Amino acid sequence: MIGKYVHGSSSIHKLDPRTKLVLMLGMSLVIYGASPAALLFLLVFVLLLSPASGMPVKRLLGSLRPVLLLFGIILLMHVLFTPGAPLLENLPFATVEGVWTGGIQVLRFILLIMYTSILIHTTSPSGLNYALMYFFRPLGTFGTDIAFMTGVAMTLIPDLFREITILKKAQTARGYRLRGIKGFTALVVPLLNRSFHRVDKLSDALESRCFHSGRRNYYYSRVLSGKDFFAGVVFVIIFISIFMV
Amino acid sequence: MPVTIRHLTHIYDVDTPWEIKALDRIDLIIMEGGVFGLVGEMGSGKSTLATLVAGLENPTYGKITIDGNSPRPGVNVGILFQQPEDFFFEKTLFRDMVSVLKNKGLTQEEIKLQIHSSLDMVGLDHQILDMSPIHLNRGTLRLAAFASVLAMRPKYLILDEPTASLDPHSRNKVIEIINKVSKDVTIIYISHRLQEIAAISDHMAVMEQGRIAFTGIWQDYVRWAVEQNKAGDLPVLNQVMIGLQHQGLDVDPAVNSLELAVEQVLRVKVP
Repeated sequence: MIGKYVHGSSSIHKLDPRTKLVLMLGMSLVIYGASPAALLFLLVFVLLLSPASGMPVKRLLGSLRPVLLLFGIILLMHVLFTPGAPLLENLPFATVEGVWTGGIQVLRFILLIMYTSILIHTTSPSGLNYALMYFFRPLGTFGTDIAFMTGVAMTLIPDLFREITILKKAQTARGYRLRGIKGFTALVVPLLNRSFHRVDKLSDALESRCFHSGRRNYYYSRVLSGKDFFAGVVFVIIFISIFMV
Repeated sequence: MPVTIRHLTHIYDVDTPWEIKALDRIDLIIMEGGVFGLVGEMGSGKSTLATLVAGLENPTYGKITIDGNSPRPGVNVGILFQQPEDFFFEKTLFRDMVSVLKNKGLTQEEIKLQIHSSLDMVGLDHQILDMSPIHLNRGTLRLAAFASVLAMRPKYLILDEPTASLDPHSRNKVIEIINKVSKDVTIIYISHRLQEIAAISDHMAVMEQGRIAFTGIWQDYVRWAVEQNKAGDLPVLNQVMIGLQHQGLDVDPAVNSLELAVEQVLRVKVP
């Protein structure tokens, strides 16, 4: 599962959420610009990072399961539409170049998902929310509102999955066969209904607690520590090794 | 033949940091007929047990049988989830109820007959069938959902907190209907309102932290609660009766209705 935080005390848990968010963005750029050999290095690195963050490698690999179909489609599109030498004699439209470029693209997605899984596994939703608020602050009220909405939306995603599970069971118990368009409607209509109710209640609760649009204040201020600077240095070394050496 | 639950253990998210043992070695037999009350605090495992008995999930360990067969949702067991009024999605109630019964392979005439008789059971007007669920109030929708599950003619029916978030009038109406329906269908009634359990259940079980802490009848439960220093959890009526008994009055602390309590107090001779 990509989106679930697990409380822990690993070094990566202890990093400031702002540091992790910036490093994640930086790592995304590195993943997109890296050569195939560098991608393999980044794969080894994330597999080492996983136990260090308290996330077993098995679960990290499990986070890829929901997107396996997408990987298959990406690979297929490249295989079919990349010009080059035919892969097999009786399959002239599938090319060797397509397999190579498709494989690399899939590897890039795999790495993105793995690094994101580690970020979410080690960063609480409130931490992520704080980091988003911090970086959107220069945009003023608009920025903090956007950051707040993003944070709330992220918190509601696991709730949505829980709701779908409840609805599946409830409709099955009522005798519905959850197949085809009808089955889809039986899930989506009540899901929207319940979600709008939930969001409505949430907005009432926020208003009743004097929440208003604009810049946020924090009771505790976060200060970057030596660990954050060390993580930054490690990232810079990786960056230099991949792009400059 | 009863509902038989043997060595039932259920664990959510096995082998993950979120692993939770919701049920722990449950053994329970629910006899056919009447109302079986299942009580417990929030998170005690009542709803998990209901989901497993309804056959909507497979237990991690253990076995459940209904009349010797595996539970089959909509066939030998029905379940009404909490706040079932949210589950309607068709334009009219009729279309919603028809969709369910069509899957059971019934003819149009049989479907109509079953829908009308289930509406009669819950005391709803047949005209309601042409209305959209969004135009009906929560209490009426709750009854319509009840009718919808009754129309499937289950032998066993699980009701998970059917009176939650209802006003007292609607709540009393639901209780009244359950009493009426329980003559034909075995009801497994889940609630944390002991007063309701006392009023309608023939037998009951108490769940605590995923285990069955007590099984028996209401009168035995009151004695058990007093012995376990849990009298404070009992309905106010029973607490008052226990207080009167401690004052030396000859009253039964396990009464299950206000009328019975008043009757006892009026005929008691003050020492």
